[in-house]
Amino acid sequence: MAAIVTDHLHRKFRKTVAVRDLSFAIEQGEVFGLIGPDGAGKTTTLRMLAGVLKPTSGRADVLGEDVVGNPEALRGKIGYMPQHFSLYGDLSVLENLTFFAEIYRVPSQERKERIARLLRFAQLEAFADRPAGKLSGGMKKKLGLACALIHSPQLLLLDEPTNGVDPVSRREFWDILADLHLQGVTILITTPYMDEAERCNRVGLMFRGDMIQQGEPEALRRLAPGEMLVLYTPALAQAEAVLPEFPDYIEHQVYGDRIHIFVSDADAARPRLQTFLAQRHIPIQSLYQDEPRLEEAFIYLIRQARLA
Amino acid sequence: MSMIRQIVNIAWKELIQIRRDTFLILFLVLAPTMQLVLISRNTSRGLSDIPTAVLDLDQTAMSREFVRELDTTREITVRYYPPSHDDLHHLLDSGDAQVGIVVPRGFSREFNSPVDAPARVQALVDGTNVLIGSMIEPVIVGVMGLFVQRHVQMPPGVDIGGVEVDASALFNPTFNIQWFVIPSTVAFIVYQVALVLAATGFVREKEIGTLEQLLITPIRRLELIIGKALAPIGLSILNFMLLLAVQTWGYDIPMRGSPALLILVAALAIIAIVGVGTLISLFTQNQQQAVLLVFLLAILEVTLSGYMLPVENMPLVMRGLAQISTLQHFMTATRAIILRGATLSMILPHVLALAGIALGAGLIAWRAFSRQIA
Repeated sequence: MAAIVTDHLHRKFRKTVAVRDLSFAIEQGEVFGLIGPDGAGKTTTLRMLAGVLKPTSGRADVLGEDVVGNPEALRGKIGYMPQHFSLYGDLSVLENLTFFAEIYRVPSQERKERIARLLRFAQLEAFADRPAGKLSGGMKKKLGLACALIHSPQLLLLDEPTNGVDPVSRREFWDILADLHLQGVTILITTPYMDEAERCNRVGLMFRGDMIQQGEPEALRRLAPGEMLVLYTPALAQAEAVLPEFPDYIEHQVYGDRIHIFVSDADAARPRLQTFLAQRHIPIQSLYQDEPRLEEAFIYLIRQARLA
Repeated sequence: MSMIRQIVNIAWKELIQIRRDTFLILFLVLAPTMQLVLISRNTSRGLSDIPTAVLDLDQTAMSREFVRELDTTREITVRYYPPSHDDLHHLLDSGDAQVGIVVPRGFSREFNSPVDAPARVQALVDGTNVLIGSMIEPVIVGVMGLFVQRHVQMPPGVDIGGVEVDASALFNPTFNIQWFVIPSTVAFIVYQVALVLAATGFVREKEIGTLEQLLITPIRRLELIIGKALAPIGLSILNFMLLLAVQTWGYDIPMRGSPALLILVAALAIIAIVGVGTLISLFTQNQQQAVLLVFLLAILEVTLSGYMLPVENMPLVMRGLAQISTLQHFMTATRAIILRGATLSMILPHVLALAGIALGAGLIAWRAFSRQIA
């Protein structure tokens, strides 16, 4: 059974279309990642699914409830973490958890045990009495997640929960999500990090309010054009300028001190590219074939969409 | 039952937050008390010790006695005795003296035989200070009156003429201005604090993003509105009682009506004020906007309240607006209970108006809130 089904979901802000005729479905128990550039409509989609923003048109069923027609029915059934830290900074970690436990009507006999478990889970036991406003960025996010989980929701909507969080905390956060996934919780998460997107069961790529691709990370990765060669050179700018003249060239992406070049057949192209660059006096530090990651596919797909 | 629990949950959270906010507590307790003390101190004094220059051209025993008499009044302190008109004007121009009094030659002669020409003194006042100008004339006239009583032997029963004014002030026999100012100020302070507390309530949660978080919980909007209003209402009622105690025992303002009725009416007014504040909070995007709106509304309501100009003397439009001013009803009704011992039936129109405002604001807040989200 599907946890989320949307049908031509549409939202306009004055004249700007934030989400355009969006139709997709998320199965129960899935971890679904929404990726896309800023302004693609990810947050708007999440807010509509959480029932805090009314769609201009279209339909969305969340956990079997019609969000558009009856947003009240969803109250208390989902966990939602908005993009910005949204707990009470002047209340302590424990007070925040207790407050949300009460608001969500967690039975009092279960409350204590559940709060203790969540504190352990979020590794915040030592900070229970600290004001939430004085936590580090990563701890705030974990507390936010703990509060969103206080009523054991079957669906979690997380809006860039790890944005601005250090890599160690990010990893810990994802360990928690992995546990939840094992418990059967459905998770819809937006993220700007491709390594996080690769940890999802499925990924949807949004662009200009539309979902232009969706599928398993592995399948999306294969949408990168052809095969990939990685070139390290000190003459990055010159190399970039001449590459489009190379016969097999499809596309290239610059990553710091290296260029990822897409060609139809890497084995055949590699020696030819070596000669091509040597003729133009561009030194090569190394040139080798590598598997395209989700990131390359993502950039390629966004470029294609921009051209279209 | 569960509705009450949810309301209590929200109200309790609000209380914890207010208790942690040191600045807010200062704002709640210290600021109102200081405001009350300052305003009442300044209004109690009235004008006193105005530096005065006297040019005594008569130089008789009687003229000197007259000057001494002026000096003994609370308002006037004779500080300069300039030798000439020019020196007197110089003192007034420089601002060293704010009042100049000229006792003309022949003052005592004219005084003793008022039939030929009445005795006159001339007072020169800095007209840019309207307060002094309007206060000084009765003082001099008063001294003259005393002087007349003392020095003119009248056959009994003979009126020396002039108009005798016999004003007897009802409820406030000594015309003590504090009796008007302090209860009005108490109402205004409570109004201000309640309005700011309520007006920043929702908008603060909007700013930090917790409102969105609350909206996906099972809590209902009405529970949220009432829960968030309870803390400002409760604190403002306490605030009112505190200031009422200061007013009654610190400043000896009489308490002629029923204290219970007074507190009930104040509570109703506070509910109405918090209702209006909640509306402001729901319709603004950040705390800055909310505080600016509160500021504008407070200025408007003070003007309409009758604090500066009696409502009966206002132009028709303002009189109409005053009918929807919570502060006006709050001030008028509480003053009536405190000073005149008014009963419920006497202030019923104000009570009904306050109830109407409270109900209306609550209803609009509830409807507007429902439409705003989802």
